Amino acid sequence: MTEQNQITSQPDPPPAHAAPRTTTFIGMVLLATAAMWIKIFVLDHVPSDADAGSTAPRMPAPAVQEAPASQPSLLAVWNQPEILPIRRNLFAIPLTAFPTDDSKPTVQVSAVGQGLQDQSTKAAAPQLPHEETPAPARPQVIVVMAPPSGVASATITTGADQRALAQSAYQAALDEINGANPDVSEVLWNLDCAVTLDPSLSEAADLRAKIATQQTADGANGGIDQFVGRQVLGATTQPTGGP
Amino acid sequence: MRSRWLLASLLLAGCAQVAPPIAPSQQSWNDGRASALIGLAGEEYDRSEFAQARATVDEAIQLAPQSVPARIISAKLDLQADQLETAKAELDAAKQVDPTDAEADYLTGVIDQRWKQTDQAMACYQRASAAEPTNADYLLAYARLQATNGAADNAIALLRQKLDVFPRNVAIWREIGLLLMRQKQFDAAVQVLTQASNIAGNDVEIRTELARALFYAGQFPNCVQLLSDILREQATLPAVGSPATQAELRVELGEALLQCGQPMAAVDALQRASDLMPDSAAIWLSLARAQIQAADLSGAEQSLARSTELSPGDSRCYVLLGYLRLCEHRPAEAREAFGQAQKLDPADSIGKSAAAAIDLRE
Repeated sequence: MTEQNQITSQPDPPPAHAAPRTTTFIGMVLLATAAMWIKIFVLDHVPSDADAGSTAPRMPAPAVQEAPASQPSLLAVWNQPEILPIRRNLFAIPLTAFPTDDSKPTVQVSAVGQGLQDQSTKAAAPQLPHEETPAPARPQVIVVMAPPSGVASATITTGADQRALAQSAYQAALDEINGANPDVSEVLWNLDCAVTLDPSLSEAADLRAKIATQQTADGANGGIDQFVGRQVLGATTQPTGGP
Repeated sequence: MRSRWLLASLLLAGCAQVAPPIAPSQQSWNDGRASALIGLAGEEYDRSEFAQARATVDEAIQLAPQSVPARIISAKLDLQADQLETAKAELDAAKQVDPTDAEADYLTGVIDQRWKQTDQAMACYQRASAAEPTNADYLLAYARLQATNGAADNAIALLRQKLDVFPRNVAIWREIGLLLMRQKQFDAAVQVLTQASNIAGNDVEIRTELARALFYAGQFPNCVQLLSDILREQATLPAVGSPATQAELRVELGEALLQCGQPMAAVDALQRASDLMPDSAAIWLSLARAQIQAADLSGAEQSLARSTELSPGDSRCYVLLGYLRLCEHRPAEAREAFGQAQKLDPADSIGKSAAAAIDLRE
């Protein structure tokens, strides 16, 4: 029985004063835990986002050379803002920039405190000199939507042959306008040709739009006599429609 | 000693008068180098680097004066600089080497057209188009010139024939649509431009032309829908088109809305059009008409005043003013306005009839 007791009984832990280092360590852990619980439940603190700021010093903005022209070059504008060190928060993802449906991202996605890819695009938000808005603390991401095909096609270089043909058509339109009995449809046809052949021929485009506008409005206003005749001679003096 | 001088003189004279023959290997080298330079000049021309292209092609012509492609590029550069005589000389040189070259014929036609030598230009385009039937530029130039010469139906038939060769060529579909519009065949133009719009996808120019065709074809609800879409899309893009172009779209939209019985929306569209083209009397008159229909009589009065100021001889302004005065229950002033309209346009009977109707009522 005595032997059995000796086998099953555990040895007593050593007293605290016998292991001062262990006691100190456990005490510190308990104190830290208590401090965290007090902060959370008494002082209403919550854990902040992961935010490991770089310890690298901020790089000053390089000196900008004066552009010879009155308008600064894009490179100089791009070079003006201060370069901020990248703040890493790899867990923050701008979900609005990656729609899951077929829709396109919005035109401008503000990137306030967002992820790494947002903050590494300084060139995406150049601050033009004439803008009065202060430079943002962090760069913004500009998502440029693709222009419609009509706009893109206007940037295609027009060949010399097409430009010459456009000039011919524009001249033919002017000749028709200055003729004795100008035919508006003939003028519009020539101007249509000119604009189709050389979209950069703005004089032709403007003239065509003005004449077409005039023609449309005049065509509709040509019905004024019938309209008024119907209203007056039909003994209806109140305007039609309306709220 | 004298014979030595004589020999030297003879040698010098011979060198001065007879060019040294180019060895075949040298000629082959020159041709190869010229070919590379022509390719480079073509690329520079496409990139609009005209000065560099000129230097490159001149060097190529020095190495290979008989090169047709070099002469063609040189002619295009002259055309670009509006030096038509020089361009014509280059093309003549090219045609001396190869009289059947389609591009040379086409460019000669372009120059002839600039010089208003229509028959010669037509013959050049015809030759070019026959030599290269798969080139749409030659075909379009030929068809356009035919239409300009009063043979629009022939041009339409020619282009329709070629749709087998170019079934998805937007330029040809669009050209047919424009020609049909010119011939006032608006329903057919709607069909053709719809096809062009389907092929081109989102091309705003073609959709604008389709909207115009819909307007003149009297398909006002479809026109309103399409124009509203175009204007909504353009609102998101900065500065698309000139103010005149923007005004044109809004006038069409306003008139189509009036036809659809939506005068309030029409007033809004025409108001924007008048902001864009404030010097157009016709737009102010349209706006006044829409405002009367929307029962905005004070707005109509202001618009009519502006229209009359811009176009004081237009009798329609006074006809509409007379009607406006009737709406305001001011018959004496209405009669005066109708009388003024009749004075401006004695052939217009509405002023006289309306004045008589007022007298009868009184």
